Amino acid sequence: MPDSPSTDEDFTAFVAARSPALYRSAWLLTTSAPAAEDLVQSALAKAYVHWRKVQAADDPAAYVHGIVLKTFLSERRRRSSGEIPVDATPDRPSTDRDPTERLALMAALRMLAPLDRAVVVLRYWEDRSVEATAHALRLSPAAVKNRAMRALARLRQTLTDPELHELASTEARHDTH
Amino acid sequence: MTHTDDLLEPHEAELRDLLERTMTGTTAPVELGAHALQHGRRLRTRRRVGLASCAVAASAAAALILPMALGGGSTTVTDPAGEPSSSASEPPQESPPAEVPEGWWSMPSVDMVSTAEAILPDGVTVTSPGSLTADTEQGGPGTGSINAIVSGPAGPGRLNVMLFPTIAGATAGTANDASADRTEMADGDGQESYISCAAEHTGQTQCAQLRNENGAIVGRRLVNRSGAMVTNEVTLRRNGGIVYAAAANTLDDKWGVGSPASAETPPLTLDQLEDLVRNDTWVRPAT
Repeated sequence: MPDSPSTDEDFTAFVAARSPALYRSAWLLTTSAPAAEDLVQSALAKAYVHWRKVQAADDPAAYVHGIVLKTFLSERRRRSSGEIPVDATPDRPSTDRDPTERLALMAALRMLAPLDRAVVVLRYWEDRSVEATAHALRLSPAAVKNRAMRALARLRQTLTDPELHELASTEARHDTH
Repeated sequence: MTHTDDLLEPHEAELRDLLERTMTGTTAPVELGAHALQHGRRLRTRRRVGLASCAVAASAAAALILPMALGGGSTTVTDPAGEPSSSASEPPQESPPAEVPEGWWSMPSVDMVSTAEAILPDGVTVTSPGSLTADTEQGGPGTGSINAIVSGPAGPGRLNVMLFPTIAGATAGTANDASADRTEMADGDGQESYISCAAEHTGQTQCAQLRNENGAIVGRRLVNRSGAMVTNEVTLRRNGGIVYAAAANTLDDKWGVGSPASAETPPLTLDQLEDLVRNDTWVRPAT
């Protein structure tokens, strides 16, 4: 019974243990901290609804990561523009010593198609194999390799663009003030 | 994480290092867990409402009317986006509806029929109470829902009444209201889709909001026409829950688009349904 105290405790414990990893993946997928928060929250809410299934899964964490991924891809399909809906941008102090590199990375990731970005996140952040990435995204292994190669080339090109770094530095200075 | 360095090309390993370097030290917002729990509870409640709707009107066509009329019914909350596909992530199957906290919305279906019979307008009578058992694997006496056949001057048809807690925003709670204690979930926005005219509907729909003396939306009156089928529906927020009543001009148990019409109009008008949902008998605590 999802409303029972024990279920809520289990769910809360799961969230406490897994939300950092979910949040980081979501951040890379969405390239925005507030959007990542929205995404993880939506995914966790769905996990709560299907909590028995989550607990019964071979790997509950992988199950919920799967929900995050599906929600991200589904949301991207539904949205006609690139606008990211966020209720409110949290006014949260940054713990970064130098966020420039991350801002540049996020800007570069933003240049990728959502599916290519998902390939990058699964393959190089979550360290999934080509086969596992293909399975999660319902692509062929060859398609994963092609997308990964294309994404890497685009990222390398973007990340070495001086204008991007200048933009990221400006944003970083803005964030720290 | 299990690194796969041996399988990565140098430029791939560089990217992985960059990802790790840039994400190190980032932490999830501390409020994420609490927000997810609240959101999950709301979603769960909305899903239960959707399932309850389907229990009484769950043909494919009916799914286009009632769950949407309830705003965020099963078609919304069983979004496949929430269903991962890997073997460890098999799509969630339909699990039983959440157990509902006790309250006036737990009125036995048998009593609901009696109540309806007592407060129906003159000339309208219950000719068949419909199923009075719970629509769950466990079976047993049903609570909080009836789907009766009624007959009146307009002809025969169906009357569906459902009672359910809103969970979020028990703003009108009383001392006897079970959900009034659930202040941790009282964020006030989860119930709006049940009573708002902003929800999407199929067919020709006319909807008007019901407001309290302060102008706040507390319910809606809705008419949905799909072919010969007409459904009158009134939803009203009451004491931490919602009273929902719908009348349709068909005898189909699970009515929807294509159901044969039993009369030109539903057996109860919107005004009569509104009188019905406003009757205090529904929200009286069990004795």
